[in-house]
Amino acid sequence: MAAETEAADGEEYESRVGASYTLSRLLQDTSARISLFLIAIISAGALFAFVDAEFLDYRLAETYLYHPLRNNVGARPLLPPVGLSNQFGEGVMAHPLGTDTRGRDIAVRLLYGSRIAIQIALVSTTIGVVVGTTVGAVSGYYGGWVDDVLMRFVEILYSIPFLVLVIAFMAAFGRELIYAMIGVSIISIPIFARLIRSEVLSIREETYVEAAQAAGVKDRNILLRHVIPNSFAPVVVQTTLQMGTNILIVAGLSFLGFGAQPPTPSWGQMLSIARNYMLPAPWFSVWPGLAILVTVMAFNILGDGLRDTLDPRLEN
Amino acid sequence: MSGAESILRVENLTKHFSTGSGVFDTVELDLSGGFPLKRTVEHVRAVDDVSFEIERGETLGLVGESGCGKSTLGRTILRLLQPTDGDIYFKGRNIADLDKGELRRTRKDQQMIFQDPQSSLNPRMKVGPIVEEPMKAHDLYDDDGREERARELLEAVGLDPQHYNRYPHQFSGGQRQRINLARALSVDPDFIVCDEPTSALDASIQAQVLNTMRELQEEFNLTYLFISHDLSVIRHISDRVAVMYLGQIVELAEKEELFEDPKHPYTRSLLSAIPVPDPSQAGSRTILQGDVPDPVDPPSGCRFRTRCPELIPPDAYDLGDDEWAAVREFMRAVRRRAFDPESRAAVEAEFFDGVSLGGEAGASSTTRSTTSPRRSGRKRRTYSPTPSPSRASAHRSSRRTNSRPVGRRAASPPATSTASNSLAGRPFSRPHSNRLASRSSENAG
Amino acid sequence: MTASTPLLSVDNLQTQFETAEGTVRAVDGISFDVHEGETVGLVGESGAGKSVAISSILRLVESPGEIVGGEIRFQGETLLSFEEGPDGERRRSPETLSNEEFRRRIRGREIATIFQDPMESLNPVFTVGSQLQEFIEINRELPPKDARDVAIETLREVDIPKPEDRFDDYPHEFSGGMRQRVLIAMAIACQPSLILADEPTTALDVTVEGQILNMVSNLQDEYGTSFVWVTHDLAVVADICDRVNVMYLGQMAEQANVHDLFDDTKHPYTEALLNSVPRPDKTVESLTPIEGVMPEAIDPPAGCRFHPRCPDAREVCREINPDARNVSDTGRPHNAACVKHDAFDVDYEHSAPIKSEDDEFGEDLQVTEGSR
Repeated sequence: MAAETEAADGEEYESRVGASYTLSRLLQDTSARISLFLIAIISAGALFAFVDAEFLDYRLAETYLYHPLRNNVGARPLLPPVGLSNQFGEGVMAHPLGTDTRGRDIAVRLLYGSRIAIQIALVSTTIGVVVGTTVGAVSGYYGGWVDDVLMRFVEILYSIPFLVLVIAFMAAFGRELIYAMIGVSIISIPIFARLIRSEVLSIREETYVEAAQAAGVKDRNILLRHVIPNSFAPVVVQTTLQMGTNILIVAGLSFLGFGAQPPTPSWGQMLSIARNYMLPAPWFSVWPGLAILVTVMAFNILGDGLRDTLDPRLEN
Repeated sequence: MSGAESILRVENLTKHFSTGSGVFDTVELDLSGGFPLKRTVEHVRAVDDVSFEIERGETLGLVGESGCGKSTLGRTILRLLQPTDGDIYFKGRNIADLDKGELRRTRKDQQMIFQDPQSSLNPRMKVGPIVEEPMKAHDLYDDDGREERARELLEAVGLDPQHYNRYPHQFSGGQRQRINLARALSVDPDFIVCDEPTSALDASIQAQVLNTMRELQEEFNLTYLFISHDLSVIRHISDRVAVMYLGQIVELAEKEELFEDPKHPYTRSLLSAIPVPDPSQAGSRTILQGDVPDPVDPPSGCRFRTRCPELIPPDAYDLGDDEWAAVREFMRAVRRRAFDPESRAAVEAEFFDGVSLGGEAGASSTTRSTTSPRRSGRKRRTYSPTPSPSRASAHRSSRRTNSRPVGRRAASPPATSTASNSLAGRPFSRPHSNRLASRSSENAG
Repeated sequence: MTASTPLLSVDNLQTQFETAEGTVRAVDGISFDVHEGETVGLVGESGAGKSVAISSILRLVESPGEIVGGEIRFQGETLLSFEEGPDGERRRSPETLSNEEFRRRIRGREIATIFQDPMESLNPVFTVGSQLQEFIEINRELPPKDARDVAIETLREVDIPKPEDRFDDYPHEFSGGMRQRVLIAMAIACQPSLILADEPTTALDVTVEGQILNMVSNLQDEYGTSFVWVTHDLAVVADICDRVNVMYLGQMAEQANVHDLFDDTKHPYTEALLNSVPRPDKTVESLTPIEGVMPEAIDPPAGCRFHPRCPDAREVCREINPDARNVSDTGRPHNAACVKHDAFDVDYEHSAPIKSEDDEFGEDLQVTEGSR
């Protein structure tokens, strides 16, 4: 064992654990910084859209932008972005990204569409993390029949064909957003459960867990204070990646017509409509696709950056 | 030592582990008849029928090689593992059958210190809360009281109380062991099981930590069960010593008694096998051959018999010491396939040189050979590992006789050294068992 | 090569690591020899630099580590040496053996190694026999069938029972002692003249260690191999070494033959080390630990590196970093890097003693006389 020096009194060793340390380390990575910035912007936009849509009934949009839902009287449909022209006319500054089939501004609809994507991804991923972590941690820590039973449940969840499940839901209960959210949550749970379980299996053999048991600490506290915090690093990474995945899934659902119903915009839905106008107005489909791409990539890159930060360096 | 009452009494304590996990692991295909699927469960007999007592205030050293079950015994006593059988009387109360809640409450009085200073502290917790945690678990004091006590304890073990807010990785190995001590002491226990607490530390740090442990024992009136494989450390810190082999205690005695006059052949072998930091004693060491047998299937009867240098020859054969030793060596070499049998004459020359055995195989020997004076040495075999076709059948043996002292070539020390060489100096070495009979070699893999 | 030319000669070896916090001078100018047929001990605690020294000799030091100075000669041939380049910087001289040739001719063949952790040195997915056989095929250039025979014989030689069967077993099926024997088999399979052993028995039980030491000793008699035995355990040193080198923080503290080292210790560090370890053969009432801890090599103390912990430290020790010089009063060479000997002309006697740091906390404890 290496003998390390004791710092002289007064000199502070930097602490190598904790969120602030991780964040500062993360920010040293350029691509992580960029992705974090992008995510911040997108989230800010989504938040704005959410507030406006839920509580202010689109008043802000009406005042400063365009109403995303109502047909824009006077605007020409399917205009290309500013600077270009197609068979429907010329792009104008008023609609920098162009207009959709009903003359609505694409940029505004993108903004309000982001709210759907982020909302579902956030909620579903959170549920997935919370439930998955609990199940996985308990399963891994106690082992035995608890482990067997819980893991069988998890495997059942895994094996359900997701699309069939969601469609079945919606056929039964209606095409509300909420059912899409539930569906995406369900498929997120097993991923986290398995991840944490495998971490917990190794952490529970650590001596400090045994020491806590020997000291008489209750199981619940052992899990909360010792086991879960030390198993959490991969979960953090997976959370960001899962956000990206869930956004893709939500977009796919919207594309198929499940999820937010028109006229509420969502990216997948916009893509679906644009599909019919690929030849005459190709730009219509590019923007929502690009939005999805950039968002998912930002989360993925963030996840990569987190993985690099968390894995080797935190443990000595 | 205050009082003669025992704080811990262990009776017939047994701990077996069943091998195999999962539903199908232990199911085997057996086509010999009956139902083709059979369930076989093997048990690792880690601790088998152990009984002893520890008195208040003393340090009982528990020593043995890897796999002898000493760590398992330590953990079973604290019921970190469930005993398979037997009783554990702690302060008069049998804790072997306590339910979970009751058991948790007894943890206040018995604590454990672990071997690895690195992994025994939660890397994400600050040191202060680590020391406080046991107090919290048993609802001792309040928040402020706990913090104050934690700082006191850090000081008591030789650390700066200002480091309360540091993380474990900011301390050295020896310091982390002190944090372990502080944590164990926080609930004011009576009894501490120390599982190789200094094995992972450098020699000089080890000394510091051992000294600290001694001081703390005085100050807080502690009782230690000190588990180690290092006989030097055991000799330094223990009052009494228990020697374990393959799940059983083979000898238990006062420290000086055990080291100066060991009575069990295993203890004797152990003691004569360790190197000593004294170059003039190089060459007086003997070796204990072979590996510890598999605890799943320990030898019947005396578990040490497969390696014991003092194995008693069976009555049916009338063998002298030399013959018996030669026979044993031969049997071992056969089992290990340590040579190629050529002709009877060659085998005889190799193994039974100077010793004559008569009689039918399996029958009792009728001629008793005269006890030849103990030979001072056998011919050494030389052989080369390079085979060439012409020598493919060359006789080879991997045995090494102990015709010369083991260890460093016995260069005579310069005239200024006063220590005399080898065997005479060591009170427990026996010239006979050192040489011919110390080789034992049941191979367990 | 005459009888007096050492088999291996290391002269002023220096190895450094460039890290974000600065340059770590892990090995800072050590010199020692190994003669034919002898066992030389390299003793020191963790952080002293002994493993780095071994890696340097074997050229296994990887970036950010680098050998930056010194000369290594083996069997009279220069393996490594440095010269001054045109800009005054140090670089490897043309006599230095190329890495390619070193690997081909020397490493594994002339100079072999045994490392501490067999599980790390053996590939877990290959059988032990196949690894050994491959080693022999490469280094002794034998066809596979012959190499296999040699491998089995070598396994037999290191006392592995039923070697023909064990040949096909995987490393995890062996016990720790057996695995270490396999490593030793790999080391001797090519009949090297020198084996560098880096704490091979530290992780083993004492009885298994005894077996291994015995076996190594016999092998040495058999083949006349020389050993460099790295360890922190003074008992092992006393048992098998002929001469000993004691390292502290990258430098040599003391070098002597084993009897002189124990009976006539000349460096305070060695002395302190000997007094701080318990013994199996007699009860040591109280251990005298060495105060403090070994500092990190990145920021060694000024002057003598041991002076902050040395009970004999004086003012002059703060200023001078002594090299290991012959301080012997018998005929036998005995080097020590301590200015209190006459070989260093620094007026030690009239220098004021340094009070040991009055650090109430940390590793500096009051030593109480044992009352048991």
